[in-house]
This record gives sequence, C-alpha cells and structure tokens, in this order.
Amino acid sequence: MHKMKWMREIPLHLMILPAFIIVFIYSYVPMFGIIIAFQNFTPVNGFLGSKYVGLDNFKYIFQFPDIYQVLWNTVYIALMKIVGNLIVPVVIALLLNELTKQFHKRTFQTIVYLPNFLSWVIVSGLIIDILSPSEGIVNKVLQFVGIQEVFFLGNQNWFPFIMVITDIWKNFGFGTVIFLAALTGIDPTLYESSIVDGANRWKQTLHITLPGIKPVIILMTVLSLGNILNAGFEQIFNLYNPMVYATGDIIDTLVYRLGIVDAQYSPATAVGLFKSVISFIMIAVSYKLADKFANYRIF
Amino acid sequence: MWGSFVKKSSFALLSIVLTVSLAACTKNKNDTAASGAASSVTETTAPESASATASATASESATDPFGKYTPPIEVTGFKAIGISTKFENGETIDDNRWMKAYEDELGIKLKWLWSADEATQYYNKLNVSIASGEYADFFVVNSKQFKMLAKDGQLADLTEAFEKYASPLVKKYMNAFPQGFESGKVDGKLVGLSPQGDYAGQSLMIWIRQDWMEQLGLQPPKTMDDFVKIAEAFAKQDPDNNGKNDTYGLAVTNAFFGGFQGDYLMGVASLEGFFNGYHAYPSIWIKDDSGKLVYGSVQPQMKDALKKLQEMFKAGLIDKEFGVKDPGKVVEDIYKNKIGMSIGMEWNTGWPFDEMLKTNPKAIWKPYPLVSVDDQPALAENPWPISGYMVASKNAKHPEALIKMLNLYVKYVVDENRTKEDSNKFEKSQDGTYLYSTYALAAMNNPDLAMNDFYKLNTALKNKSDATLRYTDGPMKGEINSLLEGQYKQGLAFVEKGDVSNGNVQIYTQKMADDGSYAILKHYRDNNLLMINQMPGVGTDTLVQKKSTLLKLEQEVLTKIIMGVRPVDDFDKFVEDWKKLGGDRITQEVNDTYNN
Repeated sequence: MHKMKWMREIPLHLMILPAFIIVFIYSYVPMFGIIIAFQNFTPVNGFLGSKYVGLDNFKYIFQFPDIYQVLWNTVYIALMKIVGNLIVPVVIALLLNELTKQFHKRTFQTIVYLPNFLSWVIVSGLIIDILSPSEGIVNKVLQFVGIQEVFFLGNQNWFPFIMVITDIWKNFGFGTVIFLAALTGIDPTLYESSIVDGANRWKQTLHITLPGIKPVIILMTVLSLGNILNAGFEQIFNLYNPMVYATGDIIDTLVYRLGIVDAQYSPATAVGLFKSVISFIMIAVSYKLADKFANYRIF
Repeated sequence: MWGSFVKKSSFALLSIVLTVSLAACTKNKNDTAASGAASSVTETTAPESASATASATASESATDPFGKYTPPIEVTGFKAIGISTKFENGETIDDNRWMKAYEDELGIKLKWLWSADEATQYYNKLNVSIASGEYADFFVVNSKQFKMLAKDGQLADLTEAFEKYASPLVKKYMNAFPQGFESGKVDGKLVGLSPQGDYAGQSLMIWIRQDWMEQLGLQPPKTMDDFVKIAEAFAKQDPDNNGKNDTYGLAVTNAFFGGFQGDYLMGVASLEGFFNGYHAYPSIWIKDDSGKLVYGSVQPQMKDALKKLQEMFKAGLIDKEFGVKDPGKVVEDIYKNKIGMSIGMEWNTGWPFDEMLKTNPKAIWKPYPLVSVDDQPALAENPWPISGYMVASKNAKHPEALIKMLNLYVKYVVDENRTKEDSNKFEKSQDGTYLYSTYALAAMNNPDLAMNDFYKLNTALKNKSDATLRYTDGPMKGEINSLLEGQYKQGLAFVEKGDVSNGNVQIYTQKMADDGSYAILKHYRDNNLLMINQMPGVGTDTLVQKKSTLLKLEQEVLTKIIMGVRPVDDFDKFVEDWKKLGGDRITQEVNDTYNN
C-alpha cells in the first residue's frame, strides 16, 4: 500500500526536478562566491588562489565618505515603496471589487497590470519626457493652472518621491491582481447576513472584506520586508544624475560603479553580502511577527 | 555604460567559447593546416623574400633589416590576444601565417610560453610571471610594468639593435611621434619600443551648423566671446525659422566630460573643449609650472570656465534639462533641429551628423578649431596614445629579432604602399572577418596615417588629379589605390553636384576640405596646440580605489555649479574635498610612479 503511493508520486517528483536543479545551479552554487567578500580577489588567481583579508573589504566600504547617506537613501526610498506598494493595491482592489460589471473590472485590471511588463529602460525614457520642465505634460498642466514648472528629475528634494510614485505606478497592477484573487475567497454568505444585520457598504468593508484578506496582506508585507535595502537598481540607475546624487544614490548604484565600472570585485561583493544579511534578518523578524500577530505560518 | 556591463558579463561566457574553439582548432591543425594552408604560404612568400634578398645585397648583409637567420634561431614570447580573435582554416595561436612568416622569411622560430586575454588577464598574468622572474624573450608590457622592469634592469638595451636593424619605415614612424619613441628610453637607453599612435586623433573641435550660421549671418568663431555670441544667436534668434523659442546654443550631456572619463566614451557634446579654451584641462593629468603632475579638473583655471557656463545656462544657451540627458538623448535633440553647436571629435561628421542629412539635407555641420578666451591659443587635450611597450628580456639571446619582427609587421600591415594581397594575407581578410595582424608579436601604428590620407585626398581635389592617390613605391607603384579612389569620388560628388547621400559629406568634411576636421588636426599638430595626458595607463592603486567616489564628487559639484544651484566659489571647496578624499595621495602616487 505504502509502496504503491510512492510509485504513484514518482512522476510528480520528476516534474519538480528541473526546477530543483535550476535553483541549485543558479541560486545555491553561486553562494560559494561570497568568499570573494573576504578576499582580495583578482580573476587571475581565482577563488582559491586569492588572498584572504578578513573583514577589510567591509571596513573599506564603511570608510566611504558618503556611505551613510547612501544607506539612508536606500532605506528611505525602499520603505516608502514597500508601504505604497501595499496600500495602493489594496485600495484599488477594494474599489474594483465594488464594480458590478465584470467587463469593466477585467478591463481596468488588465490596463493597470500592463506597465508591469515594460522594462525600466523604456519606462525611464517615458518618465523623462513626461516630467520634462519644457515639454512634459505634467509641467504643461502646472503652468496652465499658474504654478511655476518643476524640474522633478533634477531636483534632489523631489527625486525620491518621483522614484516611489513611478515605482508604484509600474507595480500596483500586480498587487491588485493578488488582492482581487483573495477577495473572491471570501464567503458571500457573510455579506448576506451582514446586510440582514443592517451593515452598509463601509461597515461591510471594514468588518468582512479587510479581515478576510488580512492573511494575504500580512503575507505580502512579510515578503516585501526583505526588500528593505532594495530601492530598485534598474529604475534609479536609469533615472539618476549628478544633480540628485545626494538623495538618489543607493547601495546598488554604488555597487555598480564599484564592481562593474571600476572592477573592484571584492568590495562590491562585500556590499552585496551585507545587503543579503540584513534582508535575511528582516525576513526572519517579520515572519516571527506575522506568526505572532496573525497566526500566519508557512512552515 | 551598458556596453561595458555587457562586455564584462559576457566575458565569462566568451572565454569558455574561446577555450572550446581553440581546443577545436588544435585538433584540426594536424590534418588540414599542414597540407593546404602551409603550401600556399610558401608559394606567395617567394617573391617577397626575393625582394628582401635584393635589398640585402645593397646594404651589409649582417645588418639587413629583413635578413634571415641561418640556421634558424628559437625565441619565446608571451601573447596578449583579444578574446574575440578568430582563426581561419585550422590556424591556431601557435601555428598561423605570422608564425610561418617569421620562420620562413626571418629564420625566427617563435614559441608562445603562454597567452591570455588582452583586456582582462594578460597584464595580471604577466605580473605573476614578473614576480616569479620567468620571462619570455619578448613581450608587451603596460606603462607601469615598463617603469618597474626598466628600473630593475630586467630589460635588454635595444639602442644599438634599433640603429642597425630597424627598417627605414619603422624609423620613420618612430620619428613621426618622437615623444612616444623617447618614452621608451630609460637613462638614455632604449629599452622599450613604443607602438606609437595618433597623438592628436582624439582632439576636440567645435562643430557648428552651417545653415544656421548663414541664416543669421554669423562669422566663424575666433575667440571665446564669438563662441558664446554664436550660441546666444542660436538660442535667441530662432535659427530654424519656425517661430518658436525652442533652440539651444551648445550641446551638453549629463556625462559632460564625455571624451575621456566617466562611463561613456562618446566624443560627442564633450565640454572638455570648452574648458581647454580657458586653459583648463579637466580629466587629464598635466605638468604644472614646477614640473609636478597635477589633475586638470582641480586646477584654478576651471573656475572661469565654470562661471561662463553658469552664465550661459542661466541665459538659456544650454538645455535646462541637460542633467538628465545622456549622449543618446542629446543626439536626438540634435536630430530634432534644436541644437546648433557641439564640441566633439573629428569623426562627428560621420556620426551623428551624417545621419541627419537623410531628414534634413541642409543641416551641414562644419568644424572649427577650439578658441581661446585670451591671446594665448587654446590647446586641445588628448589622452596619452601609448598604452604599452614591446620589450626584450635582458636574458634574450637575440634582442634584435624583436626589431626584425617589427620590420616585417610594418612592411605588411602599416606601409601605405603595401599591396592589397599582402594586406589581405597579413592584415585582415577581405571581408574583415579575420584580423590577421593581431596574431603578430610586434606591432605598431603609423601616427601620420590620417594626415597622409588627408594630404592625398586634399591635394587630389585641389589639383583635380588622382596623382596623389597612386602607390608611390613597391610592386604596385604607379597604380591607383582603389580605396582612396572611391573616397575621392565620393567627396567630388558632394563638391561638384551637392550630393549629400552615401556619406559623401563625411568624406569631404573629414578628409578633403581645407577647413575640414583632419585639417584641424593637422593645424593642432603643426602648431603644437596639443595638451597630452601625462599619466599613461590606468593609474595607481589609490586612484583605482577612489575613482568612483572622486568622479561622483566631481560630476555632482560641477553639474550643480553649471546649473547655478551652487555658487562658482564652491569650486574651491570641491578642490579641498577632492584632496582630502584621496586626491592628495593619488597626486603623490602618480608623481612617484610616472614622474621621475
């Protein structure tokens, strides 16, 4: 009996094997490379031949004059993105859920999901044009209502907010789809009985809908907290410029200039490792919190 | 930026591919190469060795530049080779037309002790060999290794061998850029051969839209004031006649030192030329009055230029949004008829400007030499053109063999009178797929190549005669050089019929016109109007470490000053910060390494 079950499961195990191999080769094997962070790595000597220097690379990084500014920029932008990317999709999903015509709902859902498929290289080109002080539509509108035009991408006070807003614009469609899916899982009889009890739309949302999708909201929060040091390399790399270095330079762009442009592999790896450790801690902590406050567990 | 990223990330993949293909080549070698390729090589080399012997009878045979060693000698080398180098028909890095030519014509059996990718591994690997004291007879070193080896007395003295064995052509090309040749001498002894290069080729010049100049009745710029006035007229007087105030004077990009540092090597819309007009030389290392090497971007002359740029920005002569525009975006603006002036290199007439003629045949751009703010002429800054030297180890038994191999290279690859057959056999295949010249051990350039092309085409146009387009020596003497003839016809089509298609304007503006871009390079060279970077190579350890930090600081501060966000006096604070953040130490190291 037991053996029969095992035999039946073999095809299923085989099916997961390719995914397992890919994760092993591309995610686990390269982890070996983190030893570069503790070496004075030169390609000609390789992993095994390069000299070990202990924590020198980390000390070197933290001697950078602007490292704390860069860290702050990263956390600041990333936190705003995490919060925005949770609130906006939830609100949009709730509003969409109120639409009675399925056609409208689906159409809107598809349209907001589309930017998700565009590369940041393309989106950046659009954003530069849209926000241009001389030709961009945003500033044309501002001028029309009598407001002085703003050079959004060249102004260091505006830059982080522009990053957050454009990131949300590009990504909220994805979150919306997830929350809409969660909404369909709520038992319709709950709404029926609440109507009997005299609850209006607002009360229904507050006491049935939101508690109903709470586990999903918490899951999304947990998953996104790991991104606390990911402020979005592709986006910022394509949009930042010397004018906004003070508020726009993030860890990843610093690593890019160090590792790829200047070929300083070891310090660049050290920063990468530092980021991963922080992310790991954040995920562990938020998972514990999720377990404590929402009884949510994966394992 | 993107390019360098792609290059680096694809390196690993490429190296695997190369290793595999090399292995495949070695395997093939035994069956195919020995039969077909080898016999054809001996056949075609016969007449050349005959001519070599003929010239040998004239001079003393022992010092014949092309004399053959009998019995053959054996020498060794280290090989730097580009990762994308391709080999044809079973040739390999160890067994190819150049190796055969060395053996058949010069009696030199060359063996590579090892080879490595030029861009990424060669110099590191060479460091390992140097550290262990295992030298090949001949190899190429970078500037830093050259200084080190020469000081340690590890290099053979080539002074006498060069005098005796260098062919007249090699001597001529060495003389064409004496500064480069002399840099191979240490304590008066010639220990390294400079591969030479066009030391003026990357000079910047001012490009201005000709139709706009005529439209507004403007004169060519003679001084910095003229320059600014033209920019002002272009920005304010509606040169494109569309009734809108939508034009700028000068093109500027966010990586505004586009020529020599930063992430782009664009050579389009590069502000260095503007600073050169104020006798400031950003991004390169120059000698100050006391003979010390100093970094150009932190010298006081920068300040006046920055002040002027700030004024120009305020007055709308520069795009208010240049801070977010990379060179690609700026070129778009040029195509949209928004910009009429740009500082760039001699080839700008080909790209981006030639492209523009397709949509606007009147938009012809003309180059002008850099202008100065005072009565001192402006000097055009240039990178140091020599990245390394060919050297012989002090243990080499036949150091002169290096010079003989160089003679052969110059004969087949550099000589302007070389035959097409030689070129197709030793330089590159006819379709350009195979770069045979990269297989050779010793190589050099003709610093005057561009100048000579200019002389030939310019004279042909003036005299309406193709006399200068013919081979002046060698087996093809008297016959017309088909490549030059084609270019001549293209230029003529523009001059006589006004045909702006097919890149005709580019050929004319670059190589033929009396006031074209090669003519300006010639003007710079003839009148000594060049400021060449005095720091060869990639720089010292601290420079490599601090580069990204200091570059970020420099770009941020200078951009903000130009945009008027920070006052010009903040430049002084930038200089202090630069020095504190490693600049002082770098200056010290650069002087210790390169200035002694």
